[in-house]
Amino acid sequence: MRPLKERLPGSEPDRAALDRVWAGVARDLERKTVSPWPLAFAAVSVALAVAVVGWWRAASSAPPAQVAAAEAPAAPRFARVTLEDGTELGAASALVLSDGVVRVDATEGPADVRVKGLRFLATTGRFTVRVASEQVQLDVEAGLVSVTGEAVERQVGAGQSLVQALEAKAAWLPLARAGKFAEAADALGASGRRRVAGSSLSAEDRLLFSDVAQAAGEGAVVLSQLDAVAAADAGADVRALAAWKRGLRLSEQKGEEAAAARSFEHAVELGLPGIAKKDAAARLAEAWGKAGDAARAEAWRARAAETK
Amino acid sequence: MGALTTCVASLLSARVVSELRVADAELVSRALTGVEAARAMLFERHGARVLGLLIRLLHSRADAEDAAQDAFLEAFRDLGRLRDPAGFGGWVTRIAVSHAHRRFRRRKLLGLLGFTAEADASLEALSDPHERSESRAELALLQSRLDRLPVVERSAWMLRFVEGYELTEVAELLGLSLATVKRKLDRARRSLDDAADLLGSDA
Repeated sequence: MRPLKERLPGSEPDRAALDRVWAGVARDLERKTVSPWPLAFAAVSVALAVAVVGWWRAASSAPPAQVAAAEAPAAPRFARVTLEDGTELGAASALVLSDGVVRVDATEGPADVRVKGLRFLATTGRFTVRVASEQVQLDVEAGLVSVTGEAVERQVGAGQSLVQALEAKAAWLPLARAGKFAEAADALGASGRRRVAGSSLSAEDRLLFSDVAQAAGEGAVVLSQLDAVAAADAGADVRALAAWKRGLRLSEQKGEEAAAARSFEHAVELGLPGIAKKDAAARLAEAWGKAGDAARAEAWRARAAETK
Repeated sequence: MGALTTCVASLLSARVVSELRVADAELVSRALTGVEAARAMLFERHGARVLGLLIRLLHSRADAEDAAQDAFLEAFRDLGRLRDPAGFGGWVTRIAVSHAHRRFRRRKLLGLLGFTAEADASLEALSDPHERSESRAELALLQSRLDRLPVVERSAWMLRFVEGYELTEVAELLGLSLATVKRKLDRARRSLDDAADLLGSDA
């Protein structure tokens, strides 16, 4: 029997929801303990998780045979992982990188770095992996790195680089069209979102992208995208929707109620699809009320009462 | 503080996820000795499954996130009571189901006081947007019938037919005997009438 949940793809939690839950758990657990830095807690624990894997492996398992045979492994026996700015992430035998830059020092132990279908293995040496939305770049400083993936299988030596294009796909768009905005944001990564924000998009897709940026918590990008849709040569319904969303963002993110109310009014003038006129009038009455313009608030309240 | 801030900023720019190859039992034993990373890894391993289950049970994403948070918090705080460390996944699921029940009861109380809970994750809303309109209508019908069932009958039916748990697992998750679960499922089936049959779930 096929469980019904397989027909409910919308119930798969996105990364942002999981992060919120974990942040709450970590915060409450932390209250019980001692640390005064709740913001740092969740992120630091991820770093610790990486370190602990290395520690466990160091304590409980032998390194791969090819290394054990060649070099006498000394502590920490696993590669040291450093972020772009020099922050030491710790010792790890295996790690997965989805975005950003890591520098791996495998002189004291092996490293196994996996990035979006590519695997970088080194038994010794130093190398850097840079992940962008469309490509992965490997720069080998010392030693030899074995790179394997569906489309690649080669060894990269000291002083050499490899740039491997990732599968060119606008993965974010189908996700956004399915309403999975947080997943779309994750699929793009920070650099991908910057690229899409500045790229050529249809007004409808840009409207969707504004929701993706919203899910990523990039408020300024949301507003710039909505402004771009409003100024685009698009249908009145799309521009109306952009103006309405812009009003919501101005109100909820920035507390700019008068600007929000003007944006709502613009949306109503353009002919707002999908939102009942009565609801729109009521929202406008609320916005003008919050903006301190009692006369306009009253006028819209009256319109809401008149409108079916 | 400066070093921590730097570390947070770095992790925001580079997303590194550890590979989870350590057994639950070992993670639990490390968590009990205060290794915070072990808790993070247990959540990383079981969080999505538990949160998904709660979204489907509670039909509200916000409620589900709150319940998941409460469940993991309780699980980590009471970790010392877990007799079989390898069974962490089932244990936290049982705690999550009991938190879902608490929320159902609170909703009922709020309903009596005239408040309606936000339900943004009904079966219909969670379905594939490309699914046929008739299928979506069937899900909506099923949802409306499920909403009328007593809490335990609804949970038993959902755990069995939505989540796909075996009867014995449903009994364990609900803390009921197998006979009671069968009785609850039978009652639920009669109340749901044709709504469940439409979905071909053998329910």
